[in-house]
Amino acid sequence: MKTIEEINQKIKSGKVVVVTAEEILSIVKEKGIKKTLEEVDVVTTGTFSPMCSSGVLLNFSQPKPKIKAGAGAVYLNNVPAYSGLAAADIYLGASALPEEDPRNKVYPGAFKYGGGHIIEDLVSGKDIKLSVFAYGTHCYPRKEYSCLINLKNLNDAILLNPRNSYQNYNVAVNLSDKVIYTYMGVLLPKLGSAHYATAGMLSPLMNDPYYKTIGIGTRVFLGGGIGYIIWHGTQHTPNSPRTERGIPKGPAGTLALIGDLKQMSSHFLRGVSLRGYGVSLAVGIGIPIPLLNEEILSYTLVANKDIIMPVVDYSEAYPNGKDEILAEVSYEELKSGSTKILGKRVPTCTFSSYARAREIANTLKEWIRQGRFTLTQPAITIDRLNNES
Amino acid sequence: MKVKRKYLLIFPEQTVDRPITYHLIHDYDLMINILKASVTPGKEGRLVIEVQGEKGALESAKNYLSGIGVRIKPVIEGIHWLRERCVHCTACVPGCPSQCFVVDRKTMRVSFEKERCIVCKHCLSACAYGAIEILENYAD
Repeated sequence: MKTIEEINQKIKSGKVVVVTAEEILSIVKEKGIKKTLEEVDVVTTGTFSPMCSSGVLLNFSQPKPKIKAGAGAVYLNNVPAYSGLAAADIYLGASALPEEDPRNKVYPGAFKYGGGHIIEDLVSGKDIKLSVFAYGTHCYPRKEYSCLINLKNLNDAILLNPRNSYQNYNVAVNLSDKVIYTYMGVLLPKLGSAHYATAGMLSPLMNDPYYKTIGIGTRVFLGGGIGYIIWHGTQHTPNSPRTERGIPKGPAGTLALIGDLKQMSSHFLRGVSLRGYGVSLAVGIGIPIPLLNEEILSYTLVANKDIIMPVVDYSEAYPNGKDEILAEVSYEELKSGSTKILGKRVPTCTFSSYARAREIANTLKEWIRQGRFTLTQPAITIDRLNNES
Repeated sequence: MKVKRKYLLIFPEQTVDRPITYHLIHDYDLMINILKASVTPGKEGRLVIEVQGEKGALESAKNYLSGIGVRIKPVIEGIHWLRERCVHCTACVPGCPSQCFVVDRKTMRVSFEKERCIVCKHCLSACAYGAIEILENYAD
């Protein structure tokens, strides 16, 4: 048994031992569970993938005279932002598109620029044109305002993501005889390609599958800066079917996250254009798992071969909401470049970057080793939160 | 002397119904590999070909093509992979017919083998991260 305070003491004294979710396996193989638990304090995880339920909460400086953006119309580089908040607070979602974007009128749409790209541009330090149209009040008389905003001159720029870090996910295939354009990629016809997601054994929620250490207030790596877990994510379904070692066999847990955009980097926050689908934001997330006891350590020993993912037909079953699973394949096979589905050898690919997920787990490891990042005791873990509701 | 070249041929609509590839092979003894074709009767056609043959014969073939109104542009570059934009996700890999994108399965990093590219542009649709650019630059 170890406590988070004890681990933080070791971080402060420079004696902490941190390894990634990949490295822990060989250590346990060599030293066994008991010895490893004595020696290793933290396992770091990472993931990097498009996560549409992401966005930024911005507060701009008031002009003179003042303007009430609230309930008016607000645009950032012509992309509409949500204005149903106070006078100078706006929220820009990752999937937002300019009104003049042709969408899928010329199929498949290219979706070159939208919310996700603005977030990437902001975090890269680029100027963004803010346009506000208001109805005017006594206290906020101005009706129109436009200016260039920049990450530096915004009062607040907060990344606020309602659903990130899916614990497991579908493998998308296309059984029809035409190419289809989905958020999982350009799916080749007649089972021509299989598109998976997540970072497998590096994924945060795969290393704490019952959310026993992760909770509200857990400090995390978010977009290259520091963030916090604020709740479970939307569509969080912890009671999905699981394998013997507790790994969900399909989409299950999710996380809601928050962090200061001003600390983040465009290396870990990238606007994406999904052909025929829309725009989104690829987010880099890393979560430290404190090795508090043998049980927690044993969960971090998940390997890619232990992760089973459901294969779903996105030409028919998925859009019509049918719960049909064509096959179950392991992440290890998917990562190898091809897998067998319905007797056919199918090439595989993903929008999630395993290389960048690994980079995140290693970066977080270095931050903890250098004492730049300490662990937090969550106010309530997600498993307790599930039981409360 | 034998040479190998890649060209973009642009056919005016009135030449689309002529068997030009046949003449290039039969009359000029050229080896033709059609890499990409977009030919619709009554519309301008575009053909990307790789040609192999005697230098003199190739020059004569080009004169023949120009004579019937076909514009010839040597293909200098087609697809450009922006290394610094690539996040190594692998979305471009399965749809590429010439296996230009190679994944090191240990590092899970992608590299681009440019010489294999036939400019089919699949990767342009598949890439979400803006790491693929088309350079429409053909030399005159």
